[in-house]
Amino acid sequence: MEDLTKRGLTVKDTSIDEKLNVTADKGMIHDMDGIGHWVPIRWYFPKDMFDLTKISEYAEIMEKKYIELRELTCPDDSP
Amino acid sequence: MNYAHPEVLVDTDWVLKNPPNENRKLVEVDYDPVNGYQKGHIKGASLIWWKRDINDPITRDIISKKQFEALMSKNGIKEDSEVILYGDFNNWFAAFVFWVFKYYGHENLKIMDGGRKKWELENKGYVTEEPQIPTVVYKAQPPDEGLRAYLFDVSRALGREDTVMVDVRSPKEFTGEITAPPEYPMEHAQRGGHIPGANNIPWATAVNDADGTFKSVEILKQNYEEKGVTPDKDVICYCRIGERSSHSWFVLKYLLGYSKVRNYDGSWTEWGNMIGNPVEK
Repeated sequence: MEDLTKRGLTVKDTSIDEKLNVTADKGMIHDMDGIGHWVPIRWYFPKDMFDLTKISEYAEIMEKKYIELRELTCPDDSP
Repeated sequence: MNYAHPEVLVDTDWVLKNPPNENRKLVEVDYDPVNGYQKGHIKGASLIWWKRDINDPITRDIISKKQFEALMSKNGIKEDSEVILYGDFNNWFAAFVFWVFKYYGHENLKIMDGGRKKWELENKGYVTEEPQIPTVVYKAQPPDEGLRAYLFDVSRALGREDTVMVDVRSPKEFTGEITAPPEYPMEHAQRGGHIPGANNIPWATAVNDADGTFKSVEILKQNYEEKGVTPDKDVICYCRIGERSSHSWFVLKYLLGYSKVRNYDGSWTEWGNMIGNPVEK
């Protein structure tokens, strides 16, 4: 699974993502204050432990998060 | 051949052998102190956090003379203190602070060549405890505007043969393919490209990739002169937010001895966001 909003970000580390408990490629994004935060770019789900349904759930959670963020900055006012 | 002003550089061994004391202050300058100073720094070094300490908290500008005096006071720096700066990101922000210190007239100032990168490569070691520094009184000089280029200076310089603009960003930023790398999503501009007539001489061409130290004077001369950046010209350096350009400003002014070099700290995040500014791709 890949977070396409992180496209182009340099992979600086590959380690366990503690939230999903699978190996993930990670990069660093600097915030307004210059502080770097590690962010997962793509996750590697072992086939013998995860099926597509479970991974789709994670993908939907990620999509929901980005829809909420978009609503904060660019709310959709269309009826 | 030596640098024009070799007294502004010290190496890591020198810093190891010459720890800070009452008259010598060691200051780490970080863009990201959480992943830098707070994880470990050279013993006795205080911290200047670029965002918090060097920028006005409200307006986009560097700190005022009064704010600068307070910063120096907090760091125990007197007018005649010897100050050695080093930092993260290949000394970009240390160079920016060098520029601000010079802007407010501090004389005895040096950069540790290679910054955190070289210190770490040499496994010289860090501590986490912060020094207890008694405050002092500091009286700054009036700002030296000859070191700083503003938007109107750059606009006025367009097309002038006696002025040369040095864009020190990456080639992809210069051509407008990107406005900022994905790592810095807060530093984009509305338009990509460069100031018309600018030369693209990335900051990285001035340092040795292996350890972040500055290249020899012969290589540096060749690097700039071949592109028409010669000592007889007025030189204006810029990048995205003015920190990489202060690194190149330092090289041109102190390592090569150019007399007329200014840093345009507004840089691309100002130029590329202004309505009506000409842009070249």
